[in-house]
Amino acid sequence: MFPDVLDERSVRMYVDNAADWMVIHWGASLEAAFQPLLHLLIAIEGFLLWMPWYVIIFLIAGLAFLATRNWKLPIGVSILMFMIGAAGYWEESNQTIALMLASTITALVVGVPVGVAMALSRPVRSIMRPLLDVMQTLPPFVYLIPGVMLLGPGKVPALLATVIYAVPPVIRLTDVGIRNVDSDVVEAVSAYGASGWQKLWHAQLPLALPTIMAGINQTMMMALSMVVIASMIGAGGLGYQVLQGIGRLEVSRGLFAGLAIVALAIIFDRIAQSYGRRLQSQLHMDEG
Amino acid sequence: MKQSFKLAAAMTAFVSAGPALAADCGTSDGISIVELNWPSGAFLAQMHKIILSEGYGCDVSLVPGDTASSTASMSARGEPNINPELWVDNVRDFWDKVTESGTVYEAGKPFAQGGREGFYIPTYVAEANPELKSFEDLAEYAELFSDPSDPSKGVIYNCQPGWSCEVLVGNMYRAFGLEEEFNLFSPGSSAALEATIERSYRREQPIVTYYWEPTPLLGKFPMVSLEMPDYVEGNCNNDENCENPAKSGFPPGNVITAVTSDVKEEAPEAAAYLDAASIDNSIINEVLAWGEENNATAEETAIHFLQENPDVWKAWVPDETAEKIQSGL
Repeated sequence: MFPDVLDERSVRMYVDNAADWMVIHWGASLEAAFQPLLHLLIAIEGFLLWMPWYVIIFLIAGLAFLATRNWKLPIGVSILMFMIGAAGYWEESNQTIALMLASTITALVVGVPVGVAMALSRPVRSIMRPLLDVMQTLPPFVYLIPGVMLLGPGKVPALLATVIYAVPPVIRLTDVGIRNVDSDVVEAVSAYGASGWQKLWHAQLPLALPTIMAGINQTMMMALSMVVIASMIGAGGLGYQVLQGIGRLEVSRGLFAGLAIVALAIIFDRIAQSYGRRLQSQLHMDEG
Repeated sequence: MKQSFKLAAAMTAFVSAGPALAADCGTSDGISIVELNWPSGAFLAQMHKIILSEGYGCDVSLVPGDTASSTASMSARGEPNINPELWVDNVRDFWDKVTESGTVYEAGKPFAQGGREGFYIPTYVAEANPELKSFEDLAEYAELFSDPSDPSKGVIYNCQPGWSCEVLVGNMYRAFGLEEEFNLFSPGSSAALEATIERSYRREQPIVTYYWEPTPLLGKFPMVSLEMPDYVEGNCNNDENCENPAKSGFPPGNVITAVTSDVKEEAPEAAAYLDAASIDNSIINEVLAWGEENNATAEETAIHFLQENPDVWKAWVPDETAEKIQSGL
């Protein structure tokens, strides 16, 4: 037995009371502060569900074509999307895509500036590193339920939880990408009298773009892997079907919805990877 | 079916005769109890553990679990041995199959008055809106319970996905004609639903939600259940594809202690206790609320119950056993 060095029960009570206090005093203002996120998500979801299914498949195939300039990926992607629809998960998939896109956009808006700050400042890096470790290892349920208490159930806490879990790769890879830009290039740009901003905007960010793209790709994948957990606080979508399958012991329902999530992951992973490769080869062409 | 039951009985008899090291209460490899992840389920598991190990000398282990996974495992592997609080209607089809095969049986009813389900509103909402009495009245109150992600409608919180109450509530929502004014929102898990109710309570906001008793939540946050018509026999409200849902109340909640058949065969005395154990709902609510208020663990709550209510549990066991349990507390 470990000796009783601390009255942990009273400490826990103190934390619980503090949480209650936050719910009572900050609940309403926090809810209002995150309204824009809710609108973003509802707008994406509304758009996806308003579009006829073939237009969505065409759009995604078009993205795939732009990324690869060849017909293999677009055809594969269209077949996967068609199969998801045929399995009866069209609406749920679009809800899941909307959550994934909204959290990826939010992760980008937050993550890229933070990553840049980390690359440029050693103190920021030493603070952010352990914080990112916590974000990636803290079990999501630990902050999900307090999130529900603060923000109410549904899309907003689900989106925030997804962002917390999925933003670290974008931050880390932006940081790495910028620091790995050839120091000769940076020096040369400085020698021509570029300001700090110009250096960042015209040299470092463009050269780090393939690495950042890899981060975005990872972020999308991690966002998709959160969909089941996000559904546990009312995000709906494919994760909800998985939960229903588990709850009713219907293996088929859980499995098919799970496979639909896998299919979405493959689609977006391949498209993002192809974009990454295109960026990479363009860079090398410029160098040559 | 009878044949297979006999076969199973013969097999378990054979198996139990085998190992020399049998625990004192008769089972060959001890008794495992599902420690359910909600308060009443965890409390009951701990109570059975204390009584079976102190009173009957069983080698008891607790296994964390929930309704679905434990039911599947009990029927497939015969383990864990006891589910202390099974809401049969939540896994109806599966339960019918399992009891037919004879691997699991219904021992006793942990809650003397059974489980109660309903639509609940906080008492402060009920006091502010004395006209709001029944589920049907809700149609007039959509604005009061407005949905944050769709302010044109109200919102009713449903039970967690996969439980049969989800389908039941969905059909009631249609039957009572609330589709026009209300959205039905699935909170995704019982933890999220509980957090949602707590949030409304802390901020004194209106909420209308599916919930069930006995639960510490209702002991902690007093809520009023909206009146519903009596249960109509033979309706199809529990069917997902029900075409004409009935304006019916919830069926009487059938909550049981589910036990694997080998316990009855190998440890008949322990099985007799499991048949007898049944607690008044009011006492359960009180005990659970005590645990919640004092931040007590399920084990401490069980000990508190055994200490405070000896007359309740002493009726379930022979005097001699009761003494052993009492001295072990």
